[in-house]
Amino acid sequence: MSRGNIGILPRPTKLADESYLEMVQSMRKILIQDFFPKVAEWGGKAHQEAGAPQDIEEIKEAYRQAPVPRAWQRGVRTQQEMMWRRTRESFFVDAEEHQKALEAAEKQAPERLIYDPNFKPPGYTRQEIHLQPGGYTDDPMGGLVFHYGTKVFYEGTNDQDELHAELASLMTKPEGKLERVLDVGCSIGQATLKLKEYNPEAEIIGLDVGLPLLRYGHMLAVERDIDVTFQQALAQDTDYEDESFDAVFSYILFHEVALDVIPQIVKEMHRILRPGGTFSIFEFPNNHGQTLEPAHRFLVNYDSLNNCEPFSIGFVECDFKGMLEEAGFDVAEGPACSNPFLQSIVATKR
Amino acid sequence: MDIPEKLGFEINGPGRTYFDDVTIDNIIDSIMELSAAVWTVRDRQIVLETVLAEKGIDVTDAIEAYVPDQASLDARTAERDALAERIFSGFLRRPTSEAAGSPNDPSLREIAD
Repeated sequence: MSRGNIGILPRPTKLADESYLEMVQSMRKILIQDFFPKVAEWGGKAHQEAGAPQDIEEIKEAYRQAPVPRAWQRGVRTQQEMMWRRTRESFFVDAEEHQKALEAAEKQAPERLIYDPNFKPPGYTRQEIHLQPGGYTDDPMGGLVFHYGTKVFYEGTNDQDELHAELASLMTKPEGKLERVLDVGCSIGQATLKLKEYNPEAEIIGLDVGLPLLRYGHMLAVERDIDVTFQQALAQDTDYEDESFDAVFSYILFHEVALDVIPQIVKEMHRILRPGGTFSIFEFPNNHGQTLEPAHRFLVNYDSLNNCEPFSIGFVECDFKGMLEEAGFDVAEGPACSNPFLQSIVATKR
Repeated sequence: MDIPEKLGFEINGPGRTYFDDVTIDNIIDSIMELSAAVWTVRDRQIVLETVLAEKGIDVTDAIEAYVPDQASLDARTAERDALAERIFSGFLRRPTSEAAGSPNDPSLREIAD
């Protein structure tokens, strides 16, 4: 028996699953909003007592001297495992029906989902990012599981794609025409659909490497009758024509790709944008120049190693803006959003 | 398309430890699972009462108005006390590490004939 949806969000298949996952969400909220400030406070004191070292390993060692960071680390890891385990178990009950729905959407609008069945995602894209079982590429249920799982991740603040709507509304539009927009690293298309809503005259394409995510996003678009196209490809190798886009949008893509791939993606986005085209980027902050607080670096390091974000340390430490400039972009600060963790950049093709 | 029932080396692997004594990690895991289990039962109770009310059976008020007899009260008190004792017995048995035995203590006791 289907339990329906929560607005646009899928509802777990059993009340017990929903109750359990809501409790996990409450625990996450406490851990992130109430507990982490204690980690920063007590870990920070231990860090000061240790002489305020700047090396990340020494920061971590200092934080370990206070008991609170370890309890926090345990709690965050456990809630994340509980969340994915129960989410997948819940939706697996309806796996067959879900696959039928995905296939029906493909039959209804095959031209809006482009992929090569023989495409093999490279190994670095197949990590179990955020501990999600099968990652973005290897679980046919991945899109649905990701959608509900990230509801818990956002602590219930993004149940109806509120953050994606805000970020899509903040995309910096280029001077002149806006006929074609790429959402690179689009995941399940939460921002892609909003970009279409805010720019109805433009052609909107969502690109990602994870086919399970794209198939799910495509199904949502068909169900809601929103005319966007999803395509599976590597962001550094899109095969689009030179200067064929007016704007590109990305949300938390770059910290999830290998460090050597970042400049390749930047170069590719520069190639496909027309002169004057804009690249709106909402992303993890960078520590280039040691501007982040030790507590923030402790958090990012923990998240990288314990929440399967294997590339985020490389991204946070890199000179990302320098890469954009080197590729031929004029780089400026983008419009601020309600999530203070994110940096906002707008890169305009010279 | 085959969909594996179990998937994920992160959530199904050996896991991680953050404390020098893994027992603390395991206790925190248990508390978090217990918290989710308690809420799951409570949430179901709320739904049950709501569904019954919609069917014309206002069990919520009936529960609040219910006055048990002394025998029932005594039985519930005993059951509740026993549960509390089981949950907290470790803290009473071993209030400090000095109060506890060591894994190296001999278990062969001298017993007088």
